Amino acid sequence: MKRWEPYILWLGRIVLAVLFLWAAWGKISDPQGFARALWNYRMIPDPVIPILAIGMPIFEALAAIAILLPPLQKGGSIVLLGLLGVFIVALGSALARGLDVDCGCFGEGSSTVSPLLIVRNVALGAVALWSFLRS
Amino acid sequence: MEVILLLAVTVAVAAGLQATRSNPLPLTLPSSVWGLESHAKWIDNARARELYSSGDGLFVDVRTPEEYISGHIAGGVNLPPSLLFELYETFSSWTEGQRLVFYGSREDSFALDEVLLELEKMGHTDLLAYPEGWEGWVESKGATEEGEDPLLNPDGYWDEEEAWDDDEGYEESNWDEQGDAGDGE
Repeated sequence: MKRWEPYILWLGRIVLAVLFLWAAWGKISDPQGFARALWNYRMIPDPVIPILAIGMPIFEALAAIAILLPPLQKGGSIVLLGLLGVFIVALGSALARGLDVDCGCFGEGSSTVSPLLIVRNVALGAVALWSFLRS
Repeated sequence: MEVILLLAVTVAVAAGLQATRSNPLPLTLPSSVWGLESHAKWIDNARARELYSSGDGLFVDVRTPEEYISGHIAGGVNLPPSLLFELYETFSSWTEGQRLVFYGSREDSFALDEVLLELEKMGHTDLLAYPEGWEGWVESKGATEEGEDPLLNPDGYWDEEEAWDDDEGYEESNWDEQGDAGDGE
C-alpha cells in the first residue's frame, strides 16, 4: 500500500459515511415520503414497501457508521456496496422504462432519476469496494 | 457476521422508532393510498382506534352526506368536497385546535385527497389521513353511528317531520328565515 493510500481511503470512507448518513436522515424523518418514492419505481410489491421504507434508511445509517469503525469496516463496506448496487439497478430500470420520478435518494423531493445519478453511485461503489478490499 | 449484526440492530432500531413515533408509517396500506398527493400523514386502523379512544382526534368523513347519514364513525363530522367551500368557515371555527383525522371510502381516495389538498392550500398542516376509511373502521369494529351532522349542515339536514312537531306546532326557528324553507309545500 502506498504511503498516501490510507489517508485517501479514510477520506473516501468519511465521504461515504457523510453521504449515507445525510441520505438516511432525509428518509428516516419522512418514511411516508420515502415509501411513495419507492412505490414510484413500480418494482417493489406493495406489501414490502412500508417495511423497506422503515428499515432501509436505518440499515444505511448503521452501515455508514460501521464503515468508520475498524472492527466493522468490512461489514459496513459490503453493505454500502450492496445498497449502491441495488440503487444502480433501480435507477437503470427506471430510466430504461422512461419513468420520470423522484430518485428518493435523500427522501422525497430528491432529484429526478438521471444517468448522472448512476455515474455518482458507480463512483461511490468503487470507494465502497476499495474500503472492503482494504478492511 | 457483521452484516447479520447490522441487520439485527436495524430491526431493533426500526421497532423502537415505530413504537415511539406519534404517527408511525402503517405497515399495511390499502392500494388507494398511493394515489394520495396530499402531505397528510397516513394512519392505520390501530392508530385510528387509539386516537378515537383517547379523544385526541376528530374524525372528518369526506363521503357524500347520504353515505355519512347511513353510517359514520361515532362523534365525527361530515365534510364532502362538494360542500367544502360552503362549510369551511363553520368547519374551521368549530374544529380549531383539534387534531383532524380525515377518512372516506377505502377504495376511493379521490374525495379524501381533494379535501386534504384544498385544506393544505388554505394553510392547514398536520392533517391525518385514515386511508382504510369507513370499511376499515367497520372491519376493526370501531364505534359507529347513523344520522345527520347538524353542526356543519344546519340548512341541509333538518328532518321535515321533526320540524313539524304535533305538540308544539311548526318550529320556525328550525329553518333559515333567509334561505330555502325546504319542501314544506
